[in-house]
Amino acid sequence: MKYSLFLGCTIPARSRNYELSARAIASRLDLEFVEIEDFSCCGFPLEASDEMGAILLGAMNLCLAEEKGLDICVLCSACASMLTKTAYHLDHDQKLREQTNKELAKIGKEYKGTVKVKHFARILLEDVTLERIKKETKQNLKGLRVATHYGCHYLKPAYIYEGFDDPQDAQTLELILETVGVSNIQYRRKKDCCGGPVLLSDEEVALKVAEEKLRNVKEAGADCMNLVCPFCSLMFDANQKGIETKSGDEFDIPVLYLPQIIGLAMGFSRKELGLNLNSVSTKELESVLEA
Amino acid sequence: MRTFSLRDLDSDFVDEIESLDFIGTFRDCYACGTCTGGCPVHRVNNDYDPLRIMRMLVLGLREELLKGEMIWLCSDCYTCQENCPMEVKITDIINHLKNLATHEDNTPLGVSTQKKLLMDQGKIYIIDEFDNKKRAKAGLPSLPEMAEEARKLLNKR
Amino acid sequence: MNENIRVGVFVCDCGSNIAGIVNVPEVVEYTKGLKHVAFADEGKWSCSVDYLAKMKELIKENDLNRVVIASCTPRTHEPLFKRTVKEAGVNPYLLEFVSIREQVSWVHRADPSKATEKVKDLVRMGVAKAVLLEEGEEIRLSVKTDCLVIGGGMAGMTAALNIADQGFHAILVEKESRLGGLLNRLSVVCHDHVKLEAAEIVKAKVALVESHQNIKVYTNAEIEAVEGYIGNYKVTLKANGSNETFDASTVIVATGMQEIEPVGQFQYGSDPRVVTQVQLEGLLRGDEVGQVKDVVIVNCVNSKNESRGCCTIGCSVSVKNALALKMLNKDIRVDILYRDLSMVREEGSDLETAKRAGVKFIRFPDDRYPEVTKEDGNLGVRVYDILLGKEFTLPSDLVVLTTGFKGDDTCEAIKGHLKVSTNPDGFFQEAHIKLGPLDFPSDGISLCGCARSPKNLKDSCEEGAGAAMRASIPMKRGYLEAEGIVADIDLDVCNSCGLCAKNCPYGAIKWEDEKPNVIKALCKGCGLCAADCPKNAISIIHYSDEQILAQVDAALEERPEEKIIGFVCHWCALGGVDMAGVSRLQYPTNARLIRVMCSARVAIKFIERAFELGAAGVLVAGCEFPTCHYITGNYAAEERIKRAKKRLARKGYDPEKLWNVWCSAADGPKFANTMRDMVKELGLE
Repeated sequence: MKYSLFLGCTIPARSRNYELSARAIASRLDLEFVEIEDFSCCGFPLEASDEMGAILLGAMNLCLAEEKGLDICVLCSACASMLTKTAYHLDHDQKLREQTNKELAKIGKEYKGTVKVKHFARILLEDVTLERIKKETKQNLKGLRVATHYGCHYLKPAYIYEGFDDPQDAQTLELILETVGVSNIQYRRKKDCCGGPVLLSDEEVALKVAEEKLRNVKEAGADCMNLVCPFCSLMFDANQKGIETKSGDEFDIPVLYLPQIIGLAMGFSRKELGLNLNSVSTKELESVLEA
Repeated sequence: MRTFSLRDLDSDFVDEIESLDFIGTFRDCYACGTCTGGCPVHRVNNDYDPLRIMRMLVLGLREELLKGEMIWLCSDCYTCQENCPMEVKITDIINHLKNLATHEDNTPLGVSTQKKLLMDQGKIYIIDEFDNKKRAKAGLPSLPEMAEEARKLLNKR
Repeated sequence: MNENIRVGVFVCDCGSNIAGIVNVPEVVEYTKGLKHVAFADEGKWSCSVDYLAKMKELIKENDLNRVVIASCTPRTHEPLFKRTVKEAGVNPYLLEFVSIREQVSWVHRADPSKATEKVKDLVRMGVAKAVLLEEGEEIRLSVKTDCLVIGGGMAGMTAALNIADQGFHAILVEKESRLGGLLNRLSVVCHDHVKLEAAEIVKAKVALVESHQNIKVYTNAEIEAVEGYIGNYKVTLKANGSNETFDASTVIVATGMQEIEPVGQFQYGSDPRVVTQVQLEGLLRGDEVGQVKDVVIVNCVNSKNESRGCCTIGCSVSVKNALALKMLNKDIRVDILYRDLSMVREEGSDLETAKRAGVKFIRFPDDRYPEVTKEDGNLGVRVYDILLGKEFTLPSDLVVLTTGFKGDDTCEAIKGHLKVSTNPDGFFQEAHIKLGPLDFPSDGISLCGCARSPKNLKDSCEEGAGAAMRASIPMKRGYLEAEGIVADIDLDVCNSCGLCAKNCPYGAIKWEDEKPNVIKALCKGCGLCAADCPKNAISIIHYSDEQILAQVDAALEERPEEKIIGFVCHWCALGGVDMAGVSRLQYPTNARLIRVMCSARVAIKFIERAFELGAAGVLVAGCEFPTCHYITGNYAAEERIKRAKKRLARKGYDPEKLWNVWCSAADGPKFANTMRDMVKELGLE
C-alpha cells in the first residue's frame, strides 16, 4: 500500500502529534507514504472568499499526485473534503474542468482525473482492514471510554463521498476503535460541529459551539475524545483551557487523534505518538491504561 | 422597523444563483425550518438562522444578505444541507454568498488575511528553519518554506 | 298477562374478565330463586360459537320465552345475541341485555363482594324488565326507484348519472338556467398534472346528463315543498313559473357553496382592483385580466379563525390561479401571502411549479393580517413576513382575496323542507363525520359535494358517486327495514293536545283528523314524545313506562338509600360508561344503570319513582352538546331536568340529588368522575 501523503498547512506547523502518530502506526501496518515537496494548501481557506482559487489549489495538488501516479492519503478532514470536492466538481462539470485546466496550463499542468483522495481513517478501514489492525494490537484498551467526534468534513457534504459512511449515523471511526477494545460512548449532539471555521469571523460564537460539545462529552463520562482533524483538535484541545477560563467550568478532557489511540494499543511510546505535544495532559489516561 | 418595498428587490438575484450548476434549485424550500433546528451555531447565537438566509435569497434581498454579517457566522458544517428534506444545497449556497460578499468588500479580517497569506506563500504557515529542525529531531522529513508552484498559480490569474 | 312467562338467564364469565371479580356461581344460584326465572346458567365464553349453539339448545329444551343475557355490553354484542335467540325461535325483542363487565367487573375490581351484589341487582332488574317485554318486529317500508337530486353542479350531476346508470330514475333540479354550478364561473381546473378548461368539463358532463334517458332535468327550478319520508316523498317544484308535483323515494342534496364576500375588508367593494378568487376566475375565463403587473394574493380571508375553520381549498386555488397569471404573462409579478400552505397529493406539484415560475410566497402571522393601502390612487399591500421578521410593502395593481365559503343561499329553505340541520358555517351537517359522512340522520336523504363543505372538483365528484350509492341501497333492495323501537299512541287516552307532533325532532307525528299519527318510517324511537305526554298516552316499544319503572323498582328493592339510579342513553352516555370500563377506571359501586335510547326518554315520573322508593340519587346521562343521536334529544332532556328539580322540591325531595351529565362516547373519565363526585356529594362514601 503506497500513498502520497498530503499534510496541508496546519499539521506540519501545529499538529505534529497527529503526523507523528499517523506515520508511526502506518509503518507498522505496511502503509508506505511518499512525500511530494510541492504539495501546498488544499484550497479550503479560500473557499469562502475565492472559490475558483480554492478549486485551482485543489486541482494543482491533485495534478502533483497524478504525476507520481499515486493516490492521496489525507490526514486533515478539511483538506480531505476540499480535495475530494475539487475532484468531484472537475469530474462532473466539463466547463469548470476546461476553465481550470486553462489556468493550470500556465504552470505546465493538466488535471486528468486519475487519482483518488482518501482520508487516513478511510484507508485504515478499506485498505489496511480491521483484521490487520487487530493483529497488530498488543495492548487491549478495554475499559477506556472514548467519545468520538466525527467532525464535519470527514463525511460531509455526503454527495462528494460516494456513500462512504452516513453523516446521519456515522460508524467508521468507532468501528476502528472497537478493534482495539475501547468502549465507544455516546453523547448528546454527537453530530455537532466543533465551531472551528467560525473562528475567523466570530471567535465568541466559535468557542461557544465547542464549549457545548465539551460539556456534552463531559456529561457522558468520557475518559477522552477521539478525532481526525487538526481544526477540531484546535477547538477542543488547544482551546480547552481558554474555554474553561471563560465559562468557569472544568472539563479536563484529553483530546486524542485516532492514530494516537491506535498507537497506544500497538504499544508505541508516549513520545513516538507525540502525546507530550497534546495541550490537555494525557498522563492520567496513560497511567490508567498501564494499570 | 424598516419597511422594505419589494419593488426594490433584486429578482434577478434568484436566477443568478440558481444558474450555477453546482447549486441547483432552492425554490423548493417550503420553509420547514429543519435547517435552523439542527444548526449548531443557531443554538448559541439566535442571530444566525439558515432558514432566514434562504428566505432572503428566495425573495431577492441581495443587499441585506451580502452586506450583512449573518452569512459569515456559518460554520460550514453541512448539517443543514444534509438534513434538508428538499435537498437544497444550503451550505454550498451560503459558501457562494460569502464569495459574492467578498466582491462587495464584506469579508471578515480573518478570512481576507488568510487569502493574502495564500497569495504570498501558497500555504497558511511558513515552515522555517526552526520548524524543520524540530521536525528533524522528531524524525519527520523536512519541508519547503513556501509552496512556490501554488503561489505562481494563484498570482498568474 | 296470560302467557306462562319462562325467563332464562345466561351469565357470562368472559373468561376471568367477569368471573375473576364477580362470584358468578353465586349470581346464578341467586337468579334461580327469582320469580319467573325458569332456568339460569353460567357460560365461560358466552359469545363463542360453541356456547351460542348450546344456548339455542337450552332455550328450546327449557321452553324459554324470555332471555336475559348478563355479559359485556349491548353496544357490541346485542346484535349477536338477538340473532341467537331468534334462531332458537324466540322473538328478538324478548331479549334483555345486562351489562356486568363494563359496568361491574372492570370498574369495581377492589371490591368483589359489592361487585357481586351489584350484579345480582342488575340481573334482577333485567329479569323484571324481561317479564314485561313484548314481541316486536322490524318495520318494512317499500322504496321505489325515483331519486330527487337537488343541485345541478358537478356533484349533483355525478350523483344523477350514477343513479341513472343503475337503471333508477333521477330528477335533477337546478335553480340556475343551466347545469354546471360553480364550475360555470371558473377558468381552469387542474388535476394530476393536467389542466382542463372548466367549460370543457361542464360541457362533457352536461352532454352525458342531458342525453340520459333515466334523468329528467329541471332548470330555473326551485323546490317549493318536500313532504313525506323515505319511499314516499311528495315534491313540489316551481319551474319556469309553474308548479309541478311528483313522487320520489330518495333525496340527494348537492346544493353547493358560495364565497363569503369580504365587503368592507381589504378595500373590497371600494376599489375595483380588489377582487375575490371567483371574480379572478371570471376575469381569467373571459380573458379580461388586462395589463396587470403586480398581483398580490391574500389567503385565509375570513377563514381559519375563531368563527370558521380552514376552507381546505384556498391554498390550492391561490396557487393554481397564480400559475394561470404567470402563464398569461411570465413577467407579471405574483406574490401569495399565506398563513400556512396545506396542499396534498397532486396539488403539491403545482406548488413546486409555481415556485419555479417565480411566484413568491410570504408567510404572515395569524394575528397580523396584511393591510391593503392606497396612496395617490396606488394600491399596495403591507405584510409582515414571519419567517424573516421583516415588513414589506408590495405595490399592487390587482389584489386577490382568497375568501372563505358558506353554503348556498338555498340552504335555509331546503333545510326546512327536509328537516335536516346545517352547521354554523352554513353547510349541511352530515349524520356523522366518519360513520355517516354522506348521510343525514333521516333515512333516505344523502348529501354530497360543496353542500357539505368546500371541496375541489375531484372530491365533489367522488362524493356525488358516493351519495348516489347511499341512495341506491334501499332503492335496489326495494324496501327499508327499520328497528321496531317506535312510539305507539293510544288514541283512546289521547286528548289531542298536539304536544307530541310539535316536539318530534323528526316530524314523525302527523296531525290527521285532529289526532296524532305516528309515521313509523320516520320515528326513531327516542321517546321524547312519550316522556312529555301529559296523558301518558304514548308508549315506546321495548322502552315502555311499565318496563322502565319495573327496573327502577327492582333496583331499589334492598338498601335503596345506598343506590344511585342512572338513566343512560344508548349512544354517547353508555359509550362513556363502556369506555370507563375498557379503560379500567375504578369508581364506587353505587350506580344501577338503566338503558334508554335517548336521554329525552327519561320522564319525570321515573325520577320521582326512584326518590319515592328512597334512592340516594338519580343521574340522567346523555350525549354531549351539541351532538345528539336524535338531533336535539339532549336539549329536551336538559329542559325537562330543570322542571323535574322544581317538581321534586315541591314534593319535599332534595332537588340537588338529581344529577345530570352530558358525556361523549369516548369520555370514560367524565363518567367515572361523575360517579365519584356523586358518591362524595351524596355522602355515600
